[in-house]
Amino acid sequence: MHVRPENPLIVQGDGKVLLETKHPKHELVRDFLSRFAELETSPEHLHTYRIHPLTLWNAASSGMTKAEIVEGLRQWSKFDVPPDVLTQVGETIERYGLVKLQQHPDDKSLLRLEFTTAYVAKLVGQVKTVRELMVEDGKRYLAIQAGHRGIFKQRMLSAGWPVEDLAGFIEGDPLPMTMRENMVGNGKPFVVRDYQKKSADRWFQDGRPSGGNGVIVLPCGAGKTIVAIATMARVQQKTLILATNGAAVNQWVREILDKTSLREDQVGAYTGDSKNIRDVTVATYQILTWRPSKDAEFTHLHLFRDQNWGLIVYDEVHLLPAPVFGATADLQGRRRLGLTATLVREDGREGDVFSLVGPKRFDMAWQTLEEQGFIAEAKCYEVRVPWKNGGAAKYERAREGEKFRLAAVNPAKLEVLDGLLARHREDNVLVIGTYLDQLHDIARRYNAPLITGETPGPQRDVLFGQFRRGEVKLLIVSKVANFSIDLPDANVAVQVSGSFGSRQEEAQRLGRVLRPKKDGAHFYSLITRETKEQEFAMKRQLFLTEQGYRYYIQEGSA
Amino acid sequence: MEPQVEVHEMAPRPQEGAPRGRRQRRLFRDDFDAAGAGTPASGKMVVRPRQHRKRWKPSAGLVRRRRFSRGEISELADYFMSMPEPLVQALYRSLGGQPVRVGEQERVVQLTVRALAQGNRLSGLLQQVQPRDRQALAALLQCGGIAHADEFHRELVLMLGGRENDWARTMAVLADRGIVCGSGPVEEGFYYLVPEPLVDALLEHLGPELELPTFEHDDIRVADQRPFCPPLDFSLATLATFMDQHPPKLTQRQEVFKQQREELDKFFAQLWTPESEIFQLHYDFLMMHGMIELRGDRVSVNREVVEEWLSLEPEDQRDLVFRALEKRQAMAEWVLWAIHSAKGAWVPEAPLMALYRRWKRGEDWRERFHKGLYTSPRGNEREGYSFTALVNCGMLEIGIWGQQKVYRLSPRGVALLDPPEDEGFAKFYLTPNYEIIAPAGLAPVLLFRLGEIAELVGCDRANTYRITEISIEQALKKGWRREELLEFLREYSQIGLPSNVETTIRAWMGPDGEVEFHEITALTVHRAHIQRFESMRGLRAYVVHRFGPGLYAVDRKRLPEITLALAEAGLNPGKVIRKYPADDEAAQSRERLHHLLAEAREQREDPVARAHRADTLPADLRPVPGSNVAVQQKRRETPRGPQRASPQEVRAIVDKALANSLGIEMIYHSLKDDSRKQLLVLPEKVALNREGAAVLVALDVESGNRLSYAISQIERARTTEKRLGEGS
Repeated sequence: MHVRPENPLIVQGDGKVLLETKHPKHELVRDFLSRFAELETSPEHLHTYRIHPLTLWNAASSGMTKAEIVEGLRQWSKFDVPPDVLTQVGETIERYGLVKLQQHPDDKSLLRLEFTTAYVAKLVGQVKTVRELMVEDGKRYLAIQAGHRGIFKQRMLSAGWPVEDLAGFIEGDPLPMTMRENMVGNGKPFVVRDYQKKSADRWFQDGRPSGGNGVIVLPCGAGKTIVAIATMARVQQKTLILATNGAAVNQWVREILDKTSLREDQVGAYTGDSKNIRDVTVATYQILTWRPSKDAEFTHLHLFRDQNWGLIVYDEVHLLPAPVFGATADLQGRRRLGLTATLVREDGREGDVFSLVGPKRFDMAWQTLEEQGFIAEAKCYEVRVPWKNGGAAKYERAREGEKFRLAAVNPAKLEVLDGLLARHREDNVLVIGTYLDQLHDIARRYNAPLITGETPGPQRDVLFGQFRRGEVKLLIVSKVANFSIDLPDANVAVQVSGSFGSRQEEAQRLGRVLRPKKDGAHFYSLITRETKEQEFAMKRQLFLTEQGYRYYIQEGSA
Repeated sequence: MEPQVEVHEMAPRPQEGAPRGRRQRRLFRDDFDAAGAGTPASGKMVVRPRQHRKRWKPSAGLVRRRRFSRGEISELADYFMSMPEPLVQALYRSLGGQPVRVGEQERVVQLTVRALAQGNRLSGLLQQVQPRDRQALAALLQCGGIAHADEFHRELVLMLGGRENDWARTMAVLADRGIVCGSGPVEEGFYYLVPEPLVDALLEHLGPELELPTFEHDDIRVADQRPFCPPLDFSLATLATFMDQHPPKLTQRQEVFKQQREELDKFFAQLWTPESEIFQLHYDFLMMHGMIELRGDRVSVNREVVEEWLSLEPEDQRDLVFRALEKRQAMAEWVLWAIHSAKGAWVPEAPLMALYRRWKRGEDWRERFHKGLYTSPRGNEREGYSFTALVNCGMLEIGIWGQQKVYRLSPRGVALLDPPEDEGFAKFYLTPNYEIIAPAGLAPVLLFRLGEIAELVGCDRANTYRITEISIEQALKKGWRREELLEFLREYSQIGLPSNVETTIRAWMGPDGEVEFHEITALTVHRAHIQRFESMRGLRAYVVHRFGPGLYAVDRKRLPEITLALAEAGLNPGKVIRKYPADDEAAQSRERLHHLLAEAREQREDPVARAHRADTLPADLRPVPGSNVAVQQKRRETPRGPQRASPQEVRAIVDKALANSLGIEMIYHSLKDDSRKQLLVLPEKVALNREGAAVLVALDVESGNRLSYAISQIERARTTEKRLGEGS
């Protein structure tokens, strides 16, 4: 066993790769790794990557070879690279490109399959779920229906045959546009950051069929909207953008008008309030998945077909609802861009995102952006609040199902909140919670505005606007504000209650205060001590620490 | 002479069957400058760096390792004096001397020893020897310097060709030079013998003849190569941890249950394949050294022994491993050293096998020689040997090239024979998500301790541990204390102890006793001798716990052994064992004094305050005569209580009551609850309590209890007409 402790990598036998982040060559090795391995966790000092078939095929699709990977791993590893890993890398990468999907020369309704050898064709033919999608194409070829493109790739992938999709994309209706040099809103120069440019380029790949789909993973506040605008500028075609809620839709529209040459009559919102289908249309997931009754058709899914879209953008792609997955499977001919801060899905369907929206094209550790000053340096605190006035006894007597809620709305939290708000009286504070009664109490206590799902869209916009301008320093929000709300000046968030152990919720809520600012950001979670809430908070805490955030635990007292 | 070491008995000897105290540790700190007084009581923080000297590594691994006693070496001259004169003279002659001119035998011996001390003289002698003669001499040395003549001739024919008679002549030539002797003809055979003091010197000069040939080729295929072959101490510590956390259940045949064995094999997939002999080696090693033991139908880890083994010097650890390997392959240690001498190159099987055969035959010849058996046994067939056991144990790697088999040390074997001075890993990674990554190469004792406080979740190039509430609970049961554990993590974590982890562990471990009791027999060493004491490996076995430099706990059952060992080591132990308390009677007297002192303290009060307090009893208060209150209040005639009395007056009242069989009405000041009670008692006698204070033994009329009342606490008293025997 040769040991080279001076190197920054440990390659484990199961394909896990550990990278020391304080190593002088860290950045170089990180860039090398990120091409063929997925960043799993990034706690301080030691980041964990995972080599698995998807990441290797992704690397192969970008032209990376087995030799490059093997040589790099050997060069940077502290221990000898496990032979099993080298074998896996070799065998997996070699599988990529054995099956190709091409445009049919004569029939637009078909896509032709190309196999490297007859033996590969025979093996693929033995996969029952795939074989049933294939049709004879003359005597020599096999083909699939163009409409089966998504499902075929999905099934092939699950059978271990990554398809090199060279069938290209349907060209949408052209939409000439440019990015502005100066923003309309404040007149300041508009500059696309390097990593934004890089992620757009990695996604687009100069218009080659190997690009044009996939997911960009960037932390909240890193400017995913700008990445989308940059890709729109590259594609130059009509675009459908799907966002999480009405406020997010308005924000998208505002950003597009602020930073591109598009006019107001070219950008429309398709929500419950207004249904404008324009060259660039921004819709919500809710409206797409709305139906009059449980058994009825989804009324608005036609939006996917109404226009000849050249690009579909999925904001917060990790929230993609099941019906939209289904619709997306039929849209494999369109360019697709997924945006998210975390690919973690509480339902574990990350694989579907990969198959149907596309592979991850770019990601960047939160910490790296923090170090570069692109997002705020955040400090996370878990404040443990004790019970008061017989709350503990009531909690003990409560039914199991009730306990979490009781702990979450512990009235003693309000007294701790008093202290926090006093400490941050000069800051722009968001108080975020899940339980409406609790939020109403808080709003009354501090005479502060409250935004919930019931707050009408225009009123929300007014309140968000006031908060952005500093006219309102304290805003109480329910979970409607978890996603896609751009509140650049918020620097303190206090989470008074959360949804059990939801990791992505924690990340998203933290994301509300991550826009870069001078004095950093503070994120407080108020947790009732020694309750179920504390157990669930532990899971959320784990997620944030794995993302590289420092997490402090404090004892709160009224 | 003032004692340098003292033994202190700090607790009574435990009774048979008394439970043992908290686990004790024996770990030494190499940093002697460290402050002693403030060191953590457990000594758990201390890890000995992996620095060591290489001990008795054979200078030529191809010959049998000879264990010379110091006496033999120092008595070289005596040895030659005992030899027949012609043999010494022959040796002296071949070393360039002229015995004829010297004359006296004693002088010849002196000069021979001196000549041997000059290496070049022996070198010159060997240069004059023919190459084939040198090969024969080397073969004889490989046999251990002893060989049955006829059989050795056949061995030489087998090894180098030629005829037996030719080899007999060769041996005669060597005998003429005085470097080979015979045992003298007995019946039909005799033995060739190399004078033992010459062996080392000859080995030094016969290097090329003794070297094993090596083989290199690009197409050598390594059979059954394991992807990961860490040092044995790493895998042993990890396996012990795993078994501690998941104690395997055994069948009636004392085998691990199949399902658990499969889980175990799966967990250690990077180290061994299922049903591998490597696991069996680990398991047997742990079992034979008491690191694991059977408790009921489960295997239980004896953590103290594991820690003990891990804190041994690498050479000592190696000795134990060799001993375990010997059970699988005779002379395993020699084989490993022989292959080690090839410096990582492949060693072909044939010459290695021939060498092994000579070792085995040498052993046989030696045994027969000492039994006086000079005749070759009949039916002495050619032996078949194999190194498969060492290959299966993961100590050797076998390479195949065509029909050729070649061997080399596996990385595990290399680490055993040549442990690296420093593998560059002094600390582990503790990340804020409660994971600990500990790379192979970290001190195994650290790995084992991590297993005590965190769940082992993966075994690989870097072991993965996870701190959970359950693992912390287990750590508490294993004797870890909160601050100790946090300090351990803080000291050995590359990035320190993340704040959230610290807070959570504090909450999980709860409040910790900052003060603890120990029942020990302590050994103290004067500060001038601490370094010497701690550097003596032989004494370490007696220390069961190190509190700090100069203060150790020892096993009180082994005091005679310890005293002897200390004396042998030149440390002068005190003749008397210091006891705390020094003697029981004195201790009792001391205790009594303290009781009296306590009493005195209790009774100590300001007389003025006492008088004031006594005079303001509410029952005694009356309106001021002439005041309105006096007018308004109807005068009540309340019986007055007894008069206030000094202790002497009280004593007089008591004596009077006793003499006349009267009762006593009194106000008694109870120190227990600082209350004053009005009592009516029937006195029986005046006695002394154990503190020597006078007490009144009397019957309390109200409660009917017979109690004693300190005279000094009776504040008021008077006799009553109530007599003894009248009852209440």
